[in-house]
Amino acid sequence: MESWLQVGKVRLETYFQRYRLEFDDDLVWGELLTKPEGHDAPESYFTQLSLSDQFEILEWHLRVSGRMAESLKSTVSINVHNSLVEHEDDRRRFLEILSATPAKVMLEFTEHYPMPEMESSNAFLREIRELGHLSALDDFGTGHNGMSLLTDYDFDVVKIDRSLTANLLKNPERQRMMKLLFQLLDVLGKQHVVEGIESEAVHEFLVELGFNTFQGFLFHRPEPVEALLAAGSVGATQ
Amino acid sequence: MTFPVAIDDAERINKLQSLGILDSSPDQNFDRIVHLCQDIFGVEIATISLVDSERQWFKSVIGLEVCETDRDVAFCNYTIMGDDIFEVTDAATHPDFADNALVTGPPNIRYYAGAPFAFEGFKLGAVCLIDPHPRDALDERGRAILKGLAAVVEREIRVQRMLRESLAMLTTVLKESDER
Repeated sequence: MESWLQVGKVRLETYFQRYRLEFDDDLVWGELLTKPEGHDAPESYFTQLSLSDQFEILEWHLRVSGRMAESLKSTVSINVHNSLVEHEDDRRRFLEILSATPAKVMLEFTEHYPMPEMESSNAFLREIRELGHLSALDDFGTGHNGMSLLTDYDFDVVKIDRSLTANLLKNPERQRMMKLLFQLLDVLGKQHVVEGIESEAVHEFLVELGFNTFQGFLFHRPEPVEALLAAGSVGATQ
Repeated sequence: MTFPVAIDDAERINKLQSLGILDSSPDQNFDRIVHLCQDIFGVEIATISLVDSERQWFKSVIGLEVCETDRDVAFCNYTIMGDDIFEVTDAATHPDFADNALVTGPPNIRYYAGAPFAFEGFKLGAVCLIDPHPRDALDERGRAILKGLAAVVEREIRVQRMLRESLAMLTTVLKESDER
């Protein structure tokens, strides 16, 4: 089983971090986290890769997702580097690869890097949706220039960065803002995942506001995909 | 196919494309409007059409399998030229539409009524009633209802844009309050 990939001299290992869903204990949904062995900063490692390496990693991630869907009934979120979809040709190739993928996946694009101009991006995101997959905006709230890609781009899911929930319990103003954030996402029809939940008090507070999907050490740590597939199950919600 | 084009059409298209509504995901509120159109008026097809540079794209559509058509066959080109309802009671005998591909072929349009909606003064598109049979012109009540629904669409587009801008601003404030 390909739970690792050799890219040049670097071996990539992949882990799965399950989300906590308040509305369904049985549904298994989570993120594939890929670590380049010997690199402490995965983001800078992935940024310097060539397009063909990026595509190879995408296809590998999709194969792993297929295996996970088949044997663990899990839905998998995959990180995609924004540079992969910068050009029309690459977007075509991306969609071809995706249309040959039996498993339904969520594709995460980060707010750290620009996306192609709005018209092409939204047409691309629409095609992802029409193939039955989801798109997500990752690292929401950390974008540059105080603007968010979410103003113009039509992602299905928003992953709320941990920095937005920092110091939440000590700061009433911030609590009101989080309440408004939930209402805005809800009325705009966006699903969400709140990242970086490490304390039960913060979790309880956010559930009270209406948030229902979480990622964090409080619930699940990243587990090696190889071990999960060997065991044939994903750790139950704690 | 020829169709009327306003002198500020390029500006209008810029405005439409800057809204982020083209190719956006299905929206219950817009879907409710086309369902209401179908129920109230008894037409086979109802759409919320946005007139882009080379196409009309349906933000919401009922009774058709497609999500867009070429712009040059769009009846809405005529609707967005004015502020009032544009209506064709029998396209087969209308000089501008008798040889339109949507009239001579599927969906074989005979009847069309559209009420335009705008954003910041630019007509983005129209709420449209379409039927494969000729119909009488809308009466006063029907016209008022169709215009009312177009006004609801106009307001919804404006409010959704404001909400998305608020979302970006809110996250900025959240970030700053963390740095203080």
